[in-house]
Amino acid sequence: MIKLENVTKEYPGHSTALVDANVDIGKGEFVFLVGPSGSGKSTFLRLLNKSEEPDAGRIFVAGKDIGQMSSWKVPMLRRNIGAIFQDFKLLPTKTVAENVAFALEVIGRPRSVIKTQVPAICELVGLGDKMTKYPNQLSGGEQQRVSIARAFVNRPLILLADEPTGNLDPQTSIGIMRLLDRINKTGTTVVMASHDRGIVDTMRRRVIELAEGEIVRDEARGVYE
Amino acid sequence: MALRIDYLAKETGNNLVRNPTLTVATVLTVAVSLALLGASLLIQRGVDHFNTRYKDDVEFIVWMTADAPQENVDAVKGFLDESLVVRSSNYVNHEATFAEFQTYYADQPEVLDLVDPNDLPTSFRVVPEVPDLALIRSLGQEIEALPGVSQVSYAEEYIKQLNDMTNSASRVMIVAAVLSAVASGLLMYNTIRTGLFARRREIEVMRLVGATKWFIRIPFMLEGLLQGLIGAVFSGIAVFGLNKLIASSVSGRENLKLFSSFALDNGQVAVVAVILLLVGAALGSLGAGIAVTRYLDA
Repeated sequence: MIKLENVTKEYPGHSTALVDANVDIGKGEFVFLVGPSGSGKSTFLRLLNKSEEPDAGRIFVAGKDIGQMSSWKVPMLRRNIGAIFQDFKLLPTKTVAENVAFALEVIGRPRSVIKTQVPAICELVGLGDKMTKYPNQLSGGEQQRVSIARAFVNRPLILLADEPTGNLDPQTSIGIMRLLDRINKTGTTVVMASHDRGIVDTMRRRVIELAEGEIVRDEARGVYE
Repeated sequence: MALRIDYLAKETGNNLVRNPTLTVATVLTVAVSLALLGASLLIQRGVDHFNTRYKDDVEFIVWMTADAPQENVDAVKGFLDESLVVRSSNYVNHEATFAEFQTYYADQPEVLDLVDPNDLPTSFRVVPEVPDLALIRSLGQEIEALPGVSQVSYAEEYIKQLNDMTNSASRVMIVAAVLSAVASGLLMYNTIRTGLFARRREIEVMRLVGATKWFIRIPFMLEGLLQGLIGAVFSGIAVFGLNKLIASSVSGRENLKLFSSFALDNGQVAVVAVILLLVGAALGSLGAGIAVTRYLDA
């Protein structure tokens, strides 16, 4: 599903974000990216949906070399890759339902589809009774659920999660991880950057560890260390 | 997958009302710059109109001295009648000249009291066969040598002077119109940029979930287009008003008869208005287009 071949990314004036990375992630896998801040986890994720371009190497998503992809096809790539973040990126002027519907609206889905999909996905993430609330009326965990609903409403092949529990307390984080686990069980490949030791150790999934842009460990059913 | 009309209408409308002061400022500058452009177009058309109207009319005037005896007048008349260059000529005697004089000085009766019709110089209004200036000049020189002739004046010169005057006026206006069009383009650019900044979160989410480039762009382009068009509509109204003003100040005033051709009919003004709409639309979409390209594709 995801393949990196000798990928290197540098930021001018800063240290290297990713050095000669080689990774192969299969369909339906759940992968943790671990490592300290600045080790290249976010860059890794941003390269996958072409938010960043690599300086060297090739990246394949669903069998396609995304470096060769023409710019007008990038939106189509992103429709297949959901993304969630530490800061949720919700629109404060829209309700829960509107935030989720927005993701469908802007890719031109018909209103009939939006009408049925939005309540269903809100139900799935456990917010069926909060659809008319605004983000600032919700707890952090609930806001993250909204953002997961928005990322997943298109049924993407891949879900990228950049520190999704970074702003949440441990109890709430467990709820979010259960939700991501459920999404993963539907066949969606999940790549999650995290430095939450407790979560990584509890889930026992594949762990890729980065240090100063280099992959220093890649093990199935790993722990944080 | 196509853009939904209701989505576009909603987004463009939201953009327009999000920052009303900027929107109003932009629309007004567009209106002012286009009104200037429209005014200069009106004047140019007025000049064209004027030129075609006077082209075949009186081409030059032979002024006799006021005390020229009748035989001098007859000699000039004979000369004009025999000349192959002259199509027709019309003698304006003392009484007719005084009648013209009366209309020019209708509001100054004290001047009229001082003037005796016989003190006024008589003249021949001459229409040449061909509007060839060189030919007319050489003929004029011959006539000026005849006894009793004080001066030959060429109507063409007056027309030329009038043309020069209106041309430089309309040139100044064109420069002012271009400068204010640049100002309104820049303002448009800034308005759209402000809109893009205000909506940066939405734009970020749109990109993230895979909205196409044009889907994100079009509401902003439409916003610019609409601002340009609204400004153009105002300037169009101003141009119609200006033409009305010219028409009403020219009509019924004998001494401004020469300028009556500067009042255009509504059809001609409508052509100017259509040009203004097109320029407004171009200005709007260009300003917005550049802003969107610079700030969305970066």
